[in-house]
Amino acid sequence: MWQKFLRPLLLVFTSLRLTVILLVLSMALVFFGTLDQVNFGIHETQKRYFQSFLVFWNPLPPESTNPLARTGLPLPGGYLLGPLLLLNLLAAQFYRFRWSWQKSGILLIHSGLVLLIVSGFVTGFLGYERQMWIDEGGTKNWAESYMENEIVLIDKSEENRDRVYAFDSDHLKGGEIIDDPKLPVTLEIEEYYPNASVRQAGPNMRVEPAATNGAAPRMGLTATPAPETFAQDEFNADTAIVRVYDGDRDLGTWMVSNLLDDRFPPQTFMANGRVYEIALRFKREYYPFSITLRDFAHDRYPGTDIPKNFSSDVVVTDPQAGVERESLIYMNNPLRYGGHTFYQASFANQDTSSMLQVVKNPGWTLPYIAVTLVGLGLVVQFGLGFFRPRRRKTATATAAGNGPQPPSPDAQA
Amino acid sequence: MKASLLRLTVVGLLPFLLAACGPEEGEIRVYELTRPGDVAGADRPTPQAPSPGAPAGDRGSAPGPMAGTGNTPPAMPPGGAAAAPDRPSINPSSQMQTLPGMEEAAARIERPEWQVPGSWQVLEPTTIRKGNFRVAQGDEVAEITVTAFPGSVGGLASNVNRWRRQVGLAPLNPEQIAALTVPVQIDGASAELVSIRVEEGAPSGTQGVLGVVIPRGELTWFVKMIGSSALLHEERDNLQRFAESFQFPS
Repeated sequence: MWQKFLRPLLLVFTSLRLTVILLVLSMALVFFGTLDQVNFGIHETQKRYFQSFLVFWNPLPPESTNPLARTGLPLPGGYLLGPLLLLNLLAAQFYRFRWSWQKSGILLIHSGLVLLIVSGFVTGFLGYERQMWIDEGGTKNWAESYMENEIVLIDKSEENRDRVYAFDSDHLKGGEIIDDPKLPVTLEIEEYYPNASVRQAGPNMRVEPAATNGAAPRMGLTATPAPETFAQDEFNADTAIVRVYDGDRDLGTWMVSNLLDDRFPPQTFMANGRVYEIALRFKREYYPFSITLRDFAHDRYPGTDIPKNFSSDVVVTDPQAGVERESLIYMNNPLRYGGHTFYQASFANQDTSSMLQVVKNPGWTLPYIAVTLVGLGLVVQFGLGFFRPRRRKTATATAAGNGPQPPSPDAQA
Repeated sequence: MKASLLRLTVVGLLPFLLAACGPEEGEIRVYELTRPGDVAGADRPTPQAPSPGAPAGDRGSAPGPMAGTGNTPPAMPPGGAAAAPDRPSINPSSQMQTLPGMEEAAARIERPEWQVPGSWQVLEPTTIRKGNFRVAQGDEVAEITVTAFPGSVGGLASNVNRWRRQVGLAPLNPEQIAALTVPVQIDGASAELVSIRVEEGAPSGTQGVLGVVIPRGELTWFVKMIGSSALLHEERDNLQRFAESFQFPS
């Protein structure tokens, strides 16, 4: 009985027609995604189109107030197309194909394609990018995102040790309550702005500060929501008004924002007899190793200001592994250490600060293996096809003594 | 046929199992950092460090590949450089950045009349520092600043804890802070004199803070002496007399 329903499904998933449809939809996704890069920039487009199940393309700009801007052409996202393509390929491989040496090339090609799709998922789910700013002579053991944010509570009560409680803030909503046994206090997110205009009230403005404690009342700050920006050279000023409860005791509200960074005095409160700092900051990742920037070089062509080379002379120190390694990072010559790749990405402060882009991608070798498998499969399959007719011709000539034979259909990949 | 269906089912589940391996949203991460080893305090370059004032989209500067952001001039820390251009300030607050408009607002605050002890060197005031002084005895140095900000500026406890952190001490709870303070009268109003590591004969290099916190109308005034603990002990009376000499404009 169940075969009656599953068999048509099996036929659909193993059909070449589905492959063609999925490939056409993939091309459409790439096409419309490319168009939308104008509005959303590369990172947001990647998220909307390739790291989603469904996306609506609309020719109107995102800030348009036209009611039609809320609808659009529906397209299956990367997270739908990828698994379907993988399913289609694997189903056809297992159900339709029969193993033989003559088809070993096709098997290799399909294995390579499967690995390529899997590597896309591995990168999408497990890979990330961070940035690490280091001043010459400085040392860093952490890097931060330039898009993702987190709210942190830092227990500063110990003499030499900070205990950090952190959670992602990008999906918070106004009115949300964060009551988790891991947290020392309960937080109520009164307001959350993905981008905000944070201003200091003028002397003649009768405007209430955005919060009752911390920087807002101290500096007379107000926060108003602003449209999100997707431009590559800009960032959103994520800002939240957070009310803190120590048990049932209302401690008041704090305004936290990634604008109020390390340069500003920390915002602190006391709960359970301990002192906590509260902040909203770009999401950080700490490493068991540190990197010291010995020198940043910005070489120019003689007699001009045209950049010739940017390089960072660094030392990696990993006390646990007993490693102290010198390395020169420059264009197309990154440092790979601890599963991370450090690329030379930017510089500042009159060439005395360097920014390394830190990329972690556990699946970075998979595309190389996949492409090698596909290439090898093509060589094998065409090689077999090249030799097969000659063998048949020889056999036929031996048997009948005449005429060439048509090539085997197996020879076509 | 059954075998094919079984294989199809297993194979079909794989991509979705893979898709389910994503990171959890809303997860609380808890970790500990050793403070001296945490080099988080390494300076953030100014071009990448936004300052409040407008939606970030207007002027945010997220770095791109070889963006060449190095040419943006860094914001000038208020006071420190202007106060002693040939000598770095020992006061960590001299590195504090200000918000747009903050300096203008501070410039409108009128300073009180005061009497400066003879042993103090008068330095150039800035818009933020209404008073800027220095006292030295041999190798021992201390800086004295007078500042004013609107509101309670986070309250006494948070300011005392901020000063404690500046000299490498852990924050305290309000009861412990109360033990560090002595009530004083400044121009007819109550104020608090705070002593943080002010010790007679303290070893050279030991830093402390002596401060007077004066709530006055909509403002809070801070008289802060930071520097050698031993020198602070000797200058304590001078600082208190200086603060008590304040005559605020009516």
